[in-house]
Amino acid sequence: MQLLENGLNSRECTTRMRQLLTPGRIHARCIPVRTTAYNASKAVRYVVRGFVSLRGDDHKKVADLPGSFPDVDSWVSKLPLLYEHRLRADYDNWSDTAAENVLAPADCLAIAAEFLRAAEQFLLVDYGLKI
Amino acid sequence: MMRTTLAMDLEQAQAEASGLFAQSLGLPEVNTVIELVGTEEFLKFQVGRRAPVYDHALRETLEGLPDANPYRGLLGLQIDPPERFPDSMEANVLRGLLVRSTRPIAGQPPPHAFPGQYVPFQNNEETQAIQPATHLIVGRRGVGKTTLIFKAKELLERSRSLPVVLDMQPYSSSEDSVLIDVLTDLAKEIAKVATRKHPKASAAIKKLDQFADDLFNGVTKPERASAALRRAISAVTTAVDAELFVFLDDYHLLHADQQPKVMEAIHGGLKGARGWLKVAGLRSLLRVYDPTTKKGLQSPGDAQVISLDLTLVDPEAAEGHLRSIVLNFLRLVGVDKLGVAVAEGAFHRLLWANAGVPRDFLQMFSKSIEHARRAGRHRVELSDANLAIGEFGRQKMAELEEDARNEQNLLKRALEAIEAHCLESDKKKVNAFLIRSESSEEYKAVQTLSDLRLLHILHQTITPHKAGERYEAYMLDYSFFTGFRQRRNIEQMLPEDGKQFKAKQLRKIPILPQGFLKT
Repeated sequence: MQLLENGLNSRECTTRMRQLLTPGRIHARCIPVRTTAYNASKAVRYVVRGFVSLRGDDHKKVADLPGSFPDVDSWVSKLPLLYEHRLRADYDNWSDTAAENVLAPADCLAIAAEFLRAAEQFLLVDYGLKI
Repeated sequence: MMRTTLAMDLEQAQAEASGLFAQSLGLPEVNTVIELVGTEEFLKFQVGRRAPVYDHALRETLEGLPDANPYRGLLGLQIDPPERFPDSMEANVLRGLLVRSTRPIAGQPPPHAFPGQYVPFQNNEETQAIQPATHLIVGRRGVGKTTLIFKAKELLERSRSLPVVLDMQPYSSSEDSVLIDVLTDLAKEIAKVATRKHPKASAAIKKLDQFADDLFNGVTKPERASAALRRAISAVTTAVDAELFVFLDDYHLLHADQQPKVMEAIHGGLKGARGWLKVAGLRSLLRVYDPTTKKGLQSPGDAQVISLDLTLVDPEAAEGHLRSIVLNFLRLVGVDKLGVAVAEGAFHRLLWANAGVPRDFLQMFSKSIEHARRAGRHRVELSDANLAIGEFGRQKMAELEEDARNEQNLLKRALEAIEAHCLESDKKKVNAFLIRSESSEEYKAVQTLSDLRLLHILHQTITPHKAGERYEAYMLDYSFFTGFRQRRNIEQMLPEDGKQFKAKQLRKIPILPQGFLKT
């Protein structure tokens, strides 16, 4: 149940990220974005499949969504892209790293927020779970 | 230098992923690059732009990769915008999509449809087709009869109903035994669908299987087949408390003599048993009622007609429909504007050359892209469209032989006479003609040639001389004077205002002489 709550608390991450949307703070902005998507994905996968890794070692499974998830094709493409941005922010945070990012911070936030909404809606409609 | 096992494993893993991605797109291969991001190695597929087809391919790749593949979850796209659309990966993917989408066969699973790909029919024919009523679905080759059947089946699958589709292509024999084949296969198909949707009704479904076996083995005589089929179907529809919808696609391919007999038997088997018949085919080659024996299906008494023809009688509507269809396909490969792929002049030439028939348009568009690629152009231009039109003419002639086996000699003679009259005249050469609306052999041939898209109707009521003498205006297919059969100084009939023909313009078209087949 804690897992589900963690997933559903993704909203807090986006709120924090909005507060951090100031120039020059790439690292601080990308981590909460990624956490939002990761947590929401984890919640969905847990509810649908009944299990997820209890450690934070399943980042590569973020796009392993059920086929019935709305607009699933597009999320399979977008979610690893957020992971990529988070990795750059975490490990390649050089002065020219920003040029390698294909998404602007505001786009990352928009994607994460949209995915969170989609996950909430999916869990409510298909599983009756109100977040 | 010896490569390490790890390097070879990674190569194998890349090949596995890129193979799945390419397979999903219908391509022989795709280029990949490895990008090191932070602590992870991402495998990136090189494409020209972001597009729904690539998103779908990424998902199929992700699902197809085993957990052991190190790139599972680390897949992405590397965008490298192409200089010329016809030479791009998107053009290749589009051509594959067009091929797969324009070759649907009723009774087989349809190709994967992307969200938003489907363009609804202009007059909401999907809703008509799923009503509990008997229908004749008519239209020229390629207008979307099979597509409508697929859509209707998909909609009916969502309810308790039993949608059954039978492609009539295999039943072209002129022998009376074809009735046994059709009824046997139909009963088996109904039993299959009913078992899948309502497995609890197995006792009633067994009666259908028994009917099929008895008919095929001669236990049930053909003359009693209709009544026996009705009893078996009634048992199933009562047991599952649902309607049965039987779609017969390409019914015109059944031998003309057999069409009314088979129709009589199937209609008799469904009527009053909560069964509804939908018969699709070319209007001029459908012979579902025999007035001499009074057997078959009479329209409008027994069946309502759903006509899918969106012809050049209303060029604006035809253009709007085709524009939506082609734009939907382009969006799948990430192209939002028609002008990126095809020049406006070439689009209009393709529209007129195909007289509003979607399948022909899409296939010809695909061929035009190939010609544009060979010529190194940035998009499809008029000359590419013309080449594709010329090539396509041969395919239409082959289809004439397939669709109208019994009448092909007469039709070819009619076509030669019309071609000579329009394009080899000593006077003005124009790609159109008027023919008097009457029950003559010539008029019937022109109608059949129109169904086969070798002629295209422009207007159904022209009175060039006096009131009461009604004529129809037709256009000769562009393949007769374009591309490799190019002829000069042919006046092309196009609306003066670019939108709709005016009566004044149509009245000037030369009239085809009466009895031209006899001269």
